[in-house]
Amino acid sequence: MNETIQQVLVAAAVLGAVLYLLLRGRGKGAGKSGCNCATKKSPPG
Amino acid sequence: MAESIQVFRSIAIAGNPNTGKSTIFNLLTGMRQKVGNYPGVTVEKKTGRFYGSHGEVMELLDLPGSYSLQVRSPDEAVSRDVLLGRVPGTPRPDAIIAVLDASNLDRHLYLVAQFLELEIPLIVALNMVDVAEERGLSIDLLALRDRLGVPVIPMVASRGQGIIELKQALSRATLHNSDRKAQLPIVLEREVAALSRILKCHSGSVRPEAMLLLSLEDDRLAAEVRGDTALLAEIHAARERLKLSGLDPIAAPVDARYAWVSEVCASVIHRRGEDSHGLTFSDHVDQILTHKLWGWLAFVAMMALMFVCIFVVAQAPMDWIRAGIQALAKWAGAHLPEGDLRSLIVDGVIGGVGNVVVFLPQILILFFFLGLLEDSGYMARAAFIMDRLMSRVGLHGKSFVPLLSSFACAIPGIMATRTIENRNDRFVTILVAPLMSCSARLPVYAIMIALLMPASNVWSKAGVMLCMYLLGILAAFVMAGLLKKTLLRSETPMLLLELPPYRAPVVRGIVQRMWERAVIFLRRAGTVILALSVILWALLNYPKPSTPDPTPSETLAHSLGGRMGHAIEPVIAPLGYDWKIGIGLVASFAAREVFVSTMGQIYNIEDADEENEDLRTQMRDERRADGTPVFTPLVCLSIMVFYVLAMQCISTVAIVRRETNSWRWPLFQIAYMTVLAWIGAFVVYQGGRMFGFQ
Repeated sequence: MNETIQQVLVAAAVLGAVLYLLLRGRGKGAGKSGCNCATKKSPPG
Repeated sequence: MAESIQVFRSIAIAGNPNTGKSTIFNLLTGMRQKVGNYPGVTVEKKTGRFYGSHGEVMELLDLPGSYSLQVRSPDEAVSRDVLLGRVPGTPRPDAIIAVLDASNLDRHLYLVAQFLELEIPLIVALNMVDVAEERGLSIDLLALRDRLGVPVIPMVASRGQGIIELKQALSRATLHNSDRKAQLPIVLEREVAALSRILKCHSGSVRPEAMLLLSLEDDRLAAEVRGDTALLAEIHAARERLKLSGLDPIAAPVDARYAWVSEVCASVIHRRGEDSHGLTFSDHVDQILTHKLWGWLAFVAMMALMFVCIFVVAQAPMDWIRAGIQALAKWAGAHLPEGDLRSLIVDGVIGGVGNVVVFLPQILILFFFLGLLEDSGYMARAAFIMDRLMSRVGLHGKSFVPLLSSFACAIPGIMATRTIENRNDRFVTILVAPLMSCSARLPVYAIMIALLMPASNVWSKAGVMLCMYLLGILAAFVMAGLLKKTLLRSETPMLLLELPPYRAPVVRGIVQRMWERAVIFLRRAGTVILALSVILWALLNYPKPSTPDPTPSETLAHSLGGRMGHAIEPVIAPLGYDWKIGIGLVASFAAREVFVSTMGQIYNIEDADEENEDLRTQMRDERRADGTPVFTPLVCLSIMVFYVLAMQCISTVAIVRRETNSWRWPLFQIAYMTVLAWIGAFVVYQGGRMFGFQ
């Protein structure tokens, strides 16, 4: 594979990862935190 | 489109905590649920729709669990306000489903007594009748229906029993208010009626509002009337009149309701199966499991067994996953042309994500055990044992459940602190909750223990892991004690705990929760961890050194990540860490398990020319410049202690910010935990060296 194509793909992957982390916090409702916890914990009962 | 559907009846589902409300809510609504927040408070509002017996659309609102309408926490306030029709955007329900635990009917009927005063049609879902039966309680349903004057549906919600009957009851064309309720003293009734006439209530029923205002404590009353001095004066005058006639306006209605509850219970509950001392099977088991000494031993033994299983049972599946990931990396390495793209995929993506995914079996076993302990009813006993310790540091008994949830993840734990009514107690719990070892630390502990004692038996490994968990608990208690004495002073409240009877855990439910966990873990590995791994890979590979054909070590040292590691080396050198561990520490401030993936990436880059090796072997072979191993037993212990105590989770920071409504507390939390972690690791490493350990 051409080296330039490789570099473009690598740059796209890194940029995509940065954008994903930056934008994932937006527009989320209460209780969604993106952690590895239970998605929602309603009050007991 | 859904909004245009005509709703036949809006129903609220309410009851004491742990009665199975949410189970019934889920049974009725299935997947048709909506979760939001009540305006102005961080209390979750869960609504859903379902079809009645004749296809009519019903709207169901799941109210937070509460013990009475005399509220003590934000959760309980929401329940009361919804039932009184005070919440904007949430109309007063047409009917209430009161969910009661049949095995604790005497305690749960108090809330029913208050519901009957609300003048809203009521349907009683008498849940857990199987447990009541096992406990030797026989409940006369006809008599109960007669005494309450409302439909009573016996249910076993965990098995879906009684749900059809409940739907049928809800689908009746008309539902009536009951005319049976606790008999209040006549003078009190008269004052309630008089106050009702004065109240200009915007919505809902006036009488329950008047009843509530008359029986509130002074400070809460002032908050309720919101500056309406004329109304306040009327209420005070009414109270004075009541006092003159020998009645305590706060205690009188409570006494009347309890008297009514005792009367109802006496006529509907028949006990059998108790031994000559009146003790049930659960009581006998509790004599051991809540004993001052045996209770602790049993607790530690159970935890130890859990960790042994984590090591033994998870070994084989972990080896399979590891072999699969290595094979995948080998295959990708062989099929991709040499260059940065191959390095990104093999070292960054497969190395980074794969090294985290390997720990899935251990995390699932942890959740299997937690589910088992919770479902069997043991958790409440653990809370009881822990309360003796917690009350010594002034921590609220209710803090135990949030702290226990934090073993899985600090976030549900911190959200569960909403049940703690005292602000200072709640903040103390939030501030110490991340000290409990969450499941994201498991990969770090596991890899460090594998390096620390490669040849030891599983009991020793489990022992070390148990010590890490206990260290977290100890640190949480000590910090809570300090915070309660300094920044967040308040009285130590007493614990009121309900010990449910022991029951056989429902394996299906536990397996379902494990499945949910697996999905959450893998989703996180495929999104956040993947993105972080890609960024880390870039940080560890760029900028490239200008020298032609640099060695992998030169590339790493010259990279941005390498420079960051070198920059913090002076700070972490006293803890025994080199700059590469430093990169792991910095990277894992986003999420703890990223430490493992960082180490995987660093050693993959460095050993690029070698055959794909297991991360543990790579770490074990790592040497300092003088030829001594990097990961000595002391360094491994020091790293584990650092991870027990450090606040390394962006998601937790965000949730603390939301729950405390300020940046002050999360920043304070990061600062104190980082300092604590540094001191802890320093003491372990330098102290160990002083005693001649390596």
